[in-house]
Amino acid sequence: MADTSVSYKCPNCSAPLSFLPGNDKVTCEYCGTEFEVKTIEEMFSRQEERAAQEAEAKEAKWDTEHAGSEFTEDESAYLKTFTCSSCGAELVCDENTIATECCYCGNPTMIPSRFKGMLKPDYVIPFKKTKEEAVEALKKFYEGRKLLPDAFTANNRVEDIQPMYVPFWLFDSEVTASAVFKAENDLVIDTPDAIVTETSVYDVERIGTMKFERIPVDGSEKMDDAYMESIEPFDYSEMVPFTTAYLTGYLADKYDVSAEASVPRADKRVEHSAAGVLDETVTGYMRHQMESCAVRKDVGSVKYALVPVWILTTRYNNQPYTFMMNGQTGKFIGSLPWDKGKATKYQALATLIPLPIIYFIAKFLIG
Amino acid sequence: MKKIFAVVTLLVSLLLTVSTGFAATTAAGQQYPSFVDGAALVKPVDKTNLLSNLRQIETKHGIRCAVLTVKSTQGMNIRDYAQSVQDQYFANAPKGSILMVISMDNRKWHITTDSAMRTKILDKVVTGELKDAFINDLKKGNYASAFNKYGSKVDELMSYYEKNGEAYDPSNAFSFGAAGIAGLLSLLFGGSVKKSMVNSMSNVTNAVSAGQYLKRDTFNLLGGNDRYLYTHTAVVPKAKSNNSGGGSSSGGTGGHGGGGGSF
Repeated sequence: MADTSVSYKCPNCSAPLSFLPGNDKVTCEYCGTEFEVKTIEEMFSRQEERAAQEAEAKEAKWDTEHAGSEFTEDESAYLKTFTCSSCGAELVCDENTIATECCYCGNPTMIPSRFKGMLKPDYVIPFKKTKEEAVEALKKFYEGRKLLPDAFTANNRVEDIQPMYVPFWLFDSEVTASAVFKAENDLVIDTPDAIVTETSVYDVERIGTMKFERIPVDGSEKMDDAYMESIEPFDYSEMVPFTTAYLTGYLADKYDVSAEASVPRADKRVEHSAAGVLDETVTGYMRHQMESCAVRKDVGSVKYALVPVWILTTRYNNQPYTFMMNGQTGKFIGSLPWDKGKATKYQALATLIPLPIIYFIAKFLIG
Repeated sequence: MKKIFAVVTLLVSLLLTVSTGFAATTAAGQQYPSFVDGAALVKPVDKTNLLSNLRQIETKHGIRCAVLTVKSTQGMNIRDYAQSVQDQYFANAPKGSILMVISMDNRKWHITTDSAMRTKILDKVVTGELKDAFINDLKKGNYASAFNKYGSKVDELMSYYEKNGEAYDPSNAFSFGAAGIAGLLSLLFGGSVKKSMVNSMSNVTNAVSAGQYLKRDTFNLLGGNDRYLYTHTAVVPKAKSNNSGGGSSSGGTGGHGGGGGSF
């Protein structure tokens, strides 16, 4: 049976190849042989083509009448099986997976057929942070969290740690922004009988152009937008042109939210920042507030990139908790559970400790 | 010079009027009475009771506690008038003296304390708790009741002093108002601390700005227009001092203390 997936194996010892974080070469962890990314890419490009053709042929056979009665058409469209080229096991993954790992032999596996019909990423930001660093970062993340339940740290075991390349759209835009502000200046005159305040009101207009580069918006439906926005920023100076070699040993998803669908999220952030830039130019007034703002996009372009994210999953009280680490910068994000009893205790302390101080201040003030 | 002479003459004549009143009621001449009703505000039967009550208080605490009503202070400041009377007729009390003067022409009251009494009944208590004890009756014309309440409060304050060895100070007393405010603010503080701690358990937030992706050097301000629209004026009148119905501390002229006001 021909393979429908491609394993990046060392030509020297046939061990699985992985792109090690922080390296610019693909390294065999077993025999230590290093390969240029370009070499690996060329070496396996033919293999990928063949695997893609085979997968296509196999997918063509995915007719509902042969798919088995227990799967609906939607399910069969979503879940796909692939054959591990190393151990021959059948791998099941969702429709967006383009790189994964064999759950039986651990072999890094690419699914080239998924590349077809989709945009090839322009860039990839390689992983720099290792699994050990991700675990360490999670431990540090727990530190100093006074409300963390004792049972959470005592019994906590990380259920799963996955390195994943997440699809991102990087938006470039040049905009023209115009805004209208209401500004005021006060003149205070102190007379023997009264305090007279004369407030002069101004209508202030500002218009300007500015350029934004590479605003990231994730193109993955299953990744929480808030998590993906919290994990920013990425250092784009380390971004390199995409080759599949960087994906070896990592999970990777293709986008399932199109660039067009992601535009509103980028635009919203641009509008907010453009308004802020114009706001900074309103000077010479004691106070001002924005009345209206309009942002027109003059030039807009988008690039497609894969960015590295470590995904850590743990469980507490039968509830999953997901944490993520920027695979490049190490920025760690997540939401921890909190103990209601501890929260009440700290609230009581924070209420009672300042009580006498506030009492004496209030008593002094009210006489 | 003429002005000083006029004031001195007025003062002497007023003191003579008061001393005549006291002399008329002190047959024995040993001690001036504790209540002299020059303005005839209290009925004879009430006057007897009042005198008895005041005398009891004086005996109990070894002080002079007196009330003087006059139709007029003849244009003299009521504080100066009260202090002059106190120095003249109540200076010999071993543990201090306190005198309340009521002037009916301008409806003013003043309570003066000598230097010894001032350490036992603080000025702020005179214009605070002591005034509060009688001012309503005074306003309503229940003079006997007002004077009795004045005496009772002095008795209470002296008892406090004797028991605690220090004058009653409202700033040391428990304040329910301050406690309420403190409780409310503390609850708000405690709530905000809890909220802050709960919020610190997550650092996942949506990004609203693209500021870090803005190329600052590309910003070009194409135009700006600052247009004057109008001016509006707000006038806040300054508060004027008004002690009507209230009490004000008299300061400490010649070691005297106390305070007074209108009714």
